[in-house]
Amino acid sequence: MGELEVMVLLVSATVGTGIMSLPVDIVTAAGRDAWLSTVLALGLVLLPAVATAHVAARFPGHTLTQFLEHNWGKAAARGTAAAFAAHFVFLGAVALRSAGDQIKTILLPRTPLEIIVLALLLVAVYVAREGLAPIARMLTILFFVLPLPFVLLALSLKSATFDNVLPVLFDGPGPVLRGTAQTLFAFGGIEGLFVWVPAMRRPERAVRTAVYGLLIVGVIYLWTVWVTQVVFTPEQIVHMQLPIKAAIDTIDLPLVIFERLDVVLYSVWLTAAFTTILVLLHLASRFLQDLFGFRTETPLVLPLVPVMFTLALIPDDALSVARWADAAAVSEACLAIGFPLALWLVMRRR
Amino acid sequence: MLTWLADVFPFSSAAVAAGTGLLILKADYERMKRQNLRAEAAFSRIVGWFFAVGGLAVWAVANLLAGLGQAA
Repeated sequence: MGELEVMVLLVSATVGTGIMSLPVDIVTAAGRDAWLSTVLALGLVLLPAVATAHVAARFPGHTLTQFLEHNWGKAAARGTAAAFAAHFVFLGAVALRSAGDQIKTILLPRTPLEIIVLALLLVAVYVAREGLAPIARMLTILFFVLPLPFVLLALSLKSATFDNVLPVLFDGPGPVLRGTAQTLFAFGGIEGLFVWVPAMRRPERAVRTAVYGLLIVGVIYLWTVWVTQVVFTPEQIVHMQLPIKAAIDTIDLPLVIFERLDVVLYSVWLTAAFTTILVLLHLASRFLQDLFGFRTETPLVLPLVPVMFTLALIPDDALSVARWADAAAVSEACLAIGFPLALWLVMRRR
Repeated sequence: MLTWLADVFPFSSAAVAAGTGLLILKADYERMKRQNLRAEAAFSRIVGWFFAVGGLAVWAVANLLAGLGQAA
């Protein structure tokens, strides 16, 4: 795989359904300094991403499990593979449920949630069974469609009030730090570098690729949060469900290219949701492949369908889904931030 | 407590499990056999049958337990 493909995989895994409600979460925690929290979170998340890329580049052509088995024995390797597989299955189920809920609320209110979730899952399975290379190629094509709604957001700046983000640090650093913690989990997916970097043609460029990928994600997040903040006041944002949609609704185009601009947003957002689910599903199957010692991940993709489907439908209401998202954030903190940093430190000491 | 399994494993999950099981037997098992991947083919056969039969069986047991729980 080339650098562009790994970068695209990283962006696709990270930017998912959460972006629609991201400004609400950060503004609720950090108030008018939400944009500052986003910048800080990007700076902080670069460290585990660089650690992951650096560690993964040390075993080109091998998987994380093979590397761990060689250095720490079979039990540690299999345990790590099982933990990562469970982590990705859980993250995938949460992403699936969250996408399903949003599609049901916004687009298909009369369609049963089960049908929406199953349809999303089956499309992802169809691609995931073919392996990493076709996924990377498909995501590269879709990657150039993704920026469209973010470019369109610029048009909503016509009704912007730039005083909304001032004064900076008026309430002290506390809210900014709370917002940073909230934003950190929006960068979930960097742990996928453990699978993608060893498959790179030039793994020595992994760190640079990871940094560029995260910068793209950071710019998308920062742009989204900042535009939402200058178009609406913090008091308005915390009461909104989908502030990006509200911002796009304020656009009044003189030349009508799209009759409804929000449809462009939804179509691209659905693509983002699908790409996240696809990448998480494939990552889960890759770690299961390591766990079982198979030569291909193909037979492990379909068995994940009933597991993820059942998990995605367990939460009864929005509150339960939020609790699951909190649990996913804890898992993310352990495996995407803690684990690579610990591994990096241990490897430096050896 | 007895209704817990029926709550987390509704009929839709059982139907998806059964459908996936049949799909695994039809698609994965055949494909792995064609590629001469014996361990993968054996795995697909076991998992395929497990989902195809087990999904509906678990749903039936779960609802039986839920019924017993309500009766008690």
